[in-house]
Parts: sequence; structure tokens; C-alpha cells
Amino acid sequence: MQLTIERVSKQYKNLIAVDRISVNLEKGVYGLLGANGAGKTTLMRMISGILKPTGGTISYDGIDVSEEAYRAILGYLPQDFGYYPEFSATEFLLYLAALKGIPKAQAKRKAKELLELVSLQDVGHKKVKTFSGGMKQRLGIAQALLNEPKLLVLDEPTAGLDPKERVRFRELIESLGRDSIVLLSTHIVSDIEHIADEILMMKDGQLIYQGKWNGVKGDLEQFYLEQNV
Amino acid sequence: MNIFLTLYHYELKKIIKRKLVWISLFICLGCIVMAKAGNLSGNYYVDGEVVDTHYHMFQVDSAYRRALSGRVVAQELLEETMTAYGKIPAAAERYTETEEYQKYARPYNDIFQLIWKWTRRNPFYEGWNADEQNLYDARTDWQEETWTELFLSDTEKAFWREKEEQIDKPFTYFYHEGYSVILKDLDTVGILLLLLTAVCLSGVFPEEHMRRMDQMILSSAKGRTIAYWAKLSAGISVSFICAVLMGLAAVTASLIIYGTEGFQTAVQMYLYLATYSYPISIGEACFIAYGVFLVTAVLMSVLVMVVSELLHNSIATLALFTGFIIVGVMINIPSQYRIVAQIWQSLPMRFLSCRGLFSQRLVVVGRHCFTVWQTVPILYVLCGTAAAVAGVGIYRRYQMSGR
Repeated sequence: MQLTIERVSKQYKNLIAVDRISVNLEKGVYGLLGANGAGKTTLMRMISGILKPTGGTISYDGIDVSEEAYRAILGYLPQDFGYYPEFSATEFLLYLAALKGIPKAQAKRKAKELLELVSLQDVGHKKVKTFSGGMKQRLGIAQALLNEPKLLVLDEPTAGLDPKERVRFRELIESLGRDSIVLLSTHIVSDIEHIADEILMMKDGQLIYQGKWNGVKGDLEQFYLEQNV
Repeated sequence: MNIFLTLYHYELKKIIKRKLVWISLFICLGCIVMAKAGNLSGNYYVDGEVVDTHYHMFQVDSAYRRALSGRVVAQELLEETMTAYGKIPAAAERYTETEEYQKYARPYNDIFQLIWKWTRRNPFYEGWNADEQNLYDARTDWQEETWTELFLSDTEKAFWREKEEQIDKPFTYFYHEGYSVILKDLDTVGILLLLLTAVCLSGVFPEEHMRRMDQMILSSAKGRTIAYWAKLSAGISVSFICAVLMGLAAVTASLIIYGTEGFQTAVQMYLYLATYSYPISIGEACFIAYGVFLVTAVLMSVLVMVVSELLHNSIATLALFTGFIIVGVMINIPSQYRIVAQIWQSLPMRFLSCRGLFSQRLVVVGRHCFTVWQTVPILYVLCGTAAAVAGVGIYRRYQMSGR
């Protein structure tokens, strides 16, 4: 189980959003830190196969990011996603399950299980347009887990969650990291400092730090602030 | 297949849950029914005074037409017609307002109109001796002139002469008002269908980008393959069902209001197709028209959805197609520019009309000639398939930049 990112770049005319990033990720939770505009979302989009890199390659166990087999092991929660106002939470999950190629019977079972996991089991029949921001975010997390992904990409997943939900979410991520590669981006250090096995820090499109973080190295938040002043 | 059907179900649901679709469809259906019934409402005025109601006039004329039904357009009927019209005082300025017209001539009005149209002169003012041979010869002369005006080749003329020989003559008159109205209103119903398709389907693909659902769709295993075909199929289905409903509304309203009789009437008895030489009945012509109507719905739906995915904008797509329809209707390319004119005439907004569908211009393949209603629908299917395949490339290449 290895995600290989090799000299990946993304350039828009004169702007280099991601600059020659190389990294190998194995089973575990990876916290991607960076200020707004650092290139986190661009990198995550490229890892999710919805944005083509200008240069470099991305593959999972030798499967290229552009292949269907790659997308079959991927779970992706975008930073900013929508919904269908007329769909109920269950319908939303069943639709996304079909998109992921999950057979109907299995999808129903999985949708029920995930609605319980994100504490939306009582509102599964309700239309998504009636949901609060936090509930929509939890539904987004549920959809990313539908296909039991080996590679889980979560872009600012804690946005909109209340403190209690944040704690539950961290526990969930920690457990998922035991069997999968979880890449989680945020600009809130406390979201990842206790659960991430490794920290990846981006600035101006470049990876400025990669590795484990422990108390010996000092305060992560302080380090992050120093890098982004 | 199961995944496709599940996705198709949800894509269909996304479209039919939109209020815009239902509102537009009901407006179109309302317009179609109202247009059919509208001709019969209101009063008929002469010099500012109400003379009759349109509905009563229709009832009277229908009764006269039904009385003529089954009669052969031959010497006897032509003589009766001219004798009846001969009773109108020659000095009458507006002969339709004379008592003699109402009493003697009006029952023969349809035959009189046929003589007028075929001979291309008003028999009342310009005089005409009832002569069956002369009448049919006049129609033949008119056909030949029409073919010359349309710049038909010798091969095309030979084809039509051969078809003309297959038509049973003299023609038999049958009451056929219901079918005439269906053919007459075909262009209006056609334009409504094209507009409805553009309104309902221009958002199918762009809304995924607008709602920001595209990221989840395109990053999922089937999101770049089956999802595209499921979306396209759902859009085609909606357009097809709308076309069926609109077609049914137009046919049902016409036949209920104007009568179901006359299916077997030779299409040449419909005055706008008097020179058309294909041996079909007016009922068969209506079937052909609605077959083409359904194929056009499929083509239009594919074009709208593919262009909308190319533009990523539903409003721009709607504006583009509305403009395309208006330009297509308003601009006419003269027949002398043979190929360009024929291609222009094959555009859906022009083709879905009596004149377009039953054009005498042919498609010549080798030594074989085909009518446009035989070939253009096949061309539509090919164009639709090509557009759908091109759309896959556009859809798959989409990159999630920006935001």
C-alpha cells in the first residue's frame, strides 16, 4: 500500500501552484498543513485525479491516478462540495455509491452503516437541503467512506463541525489510518497534531516540511506560525 | 448494467424534480391545445360588424365538407362547383358576402379552393370552364414549374414523375380537417419542442459544476464513464417523453376538435402539398411527421447537453440554442445554392414543418433517390451519435481548476 507522488507540479500561466513535490505515503494518517493559497487543495485535487498535473506522476501501488482502478480505491471529501436539494441523505449516499460502482444491496447496507457512524441515522430520510452545515459535512465524510477506500483524501474535513463532532471525527480518522492512507488537509494545527502519524507542510506550492512531529521538536503550532509569517 | 440503471434512475430524478421542467412542459402543452382551439374562438367581422362566430362558421363548413366526403374530384363535381359559383352575381365585389354564395356556393368551397390553387387563378373573377383534364394538367404544369424553381436535377424530376404515376387519379375528396391542422401546426409544435428541450436540458451537466458536485462525481470510479452515459440517457428520455406528450397533445386536440375522418385522403388534397408526388395519405404523412418529431427530440437533447458540457454554463447554452433556433427560422437560403440550401433546410427548426419535411428536393445516392423524410432522420441519428461520442471526450477532459 503506497501512494507515490513524484515531482508533481501544477502551473497556471505565471503562477506555480504546486512545485515539484515528491513524497511516498504508506498506511497511516498524514496531516497536510499550510496557509490559504499554499497549494494544499491543488495537490489534493491532483491526488484525487480531478486535476491533471503539469508535470510529474501520481500512482497507487503502480496504478496511475488517471485509471478507474485508482478511483475505485479512492475516497475524497472536497473542501467545498454541494448536494442535490431534492435528495434525502440516504438517496445522496446511494447515488454516490452507484457512482463508485457499489452494487445496490451492498450500497443500502453501507449507507445505513455510515449514517449511523456519522450520527445521521435519524435524519436519513430527510432532504439534504434541510441540514445544517455540520450535518452536511458529516454526510460528506460518510460518502467518502462508502467504498472502504484504501486512499482517503480529506480537504479541510473539520470545517463546520462543532467541538464535540471534531473530537469524534479525530477518533474516526485515527481508526481509518490503521488500514488506509489518510491524507488530511487543514490550516488548523490542533486538528492533526494528535492524530497525524506524519506532518506535511506546504508553503508557496512547495513541501517545506515532511516527517513525524513529537514534543522534542517543540510546539507544532509555533513552528507553523513561524513558517507562515 | 445495474450500476447504469441505478445512475440513470437518479439522473432522471434530478431532471424531473426541477420545477422548471414541469412549468415549461405545461406551458408548451397549453400553447399547443390553445393554438388548436384558438382558431375557433372569437367572432367574424365584416366592415366592423359581427357577422358570425368562428365556431359556427367552422360547424357549417365542416358539415358541407362532410357532405362532399367520398366524392371523386372529376368532371361531375367540378361542374357542380362551377354551376354553384355561377349563381353568384358577377358584379359582386365580395362574393363571399352574397346570399347566393351562402346558399349555393359555400358547400363547394373546398373544391373551389382546390381549383383556384391548382390553376393558380381565381375561377370566379378570371373564369374557368369545368374541365377535369384541364384541372389535372394545370396541376402537372404547376409541379413542373415548382421543380424548375427548386433547381431539381433531371434525376430528381424523373423520380417524381415516376412517383406521380403511382398516385391514384382522379383524387377522391374526403373530409380531412383534423389531419390538415396537424400538418399545418407542425412547425409551431416543432419550435416549442426545440425550445423546451433547450430549457430543460441545458442545466443537466453545468449544474453539477454549479452545485460543486463535479468533484465527487469525477473522482469516483464510474464518474467519468457510466455517469456520462446515464446523464445523457436520462436527458434523452426526458426530451423523448416531452415530445411524445406534445405530439399526443397536438394530435389528440386536432382530432377531437376537427374530427378523426380522412386518414386515407391523398396527401395531395392538402393544399400546401398539392404538388407533392409521393403516394401517401394525409394520415401517413402525419405519422411520418411525428416519427421525425421524436427523432429530432433525441438529436436536440444530445446537442444541448453536449454543448452545455462544453460551455459549462446553462444560460449560455440556452442563449446559444435560442439564437440558433431564431436564426434558423428567420434566414432563408435561396434554392439556387443547392447544397447549402438543402443543408439549411435540414436544420431541425426548418425541417420540422410541412415544407421542410415534404420538400421535393431529394438526396441522391448513386442512382437511388431518397426523400428528405427518409434520409434526414438517419442523418440526425448519426449526428446525435457523433455528438454523444464527442461529448465523452469533453466530459472526461474536464479539469477542476479555479474556485
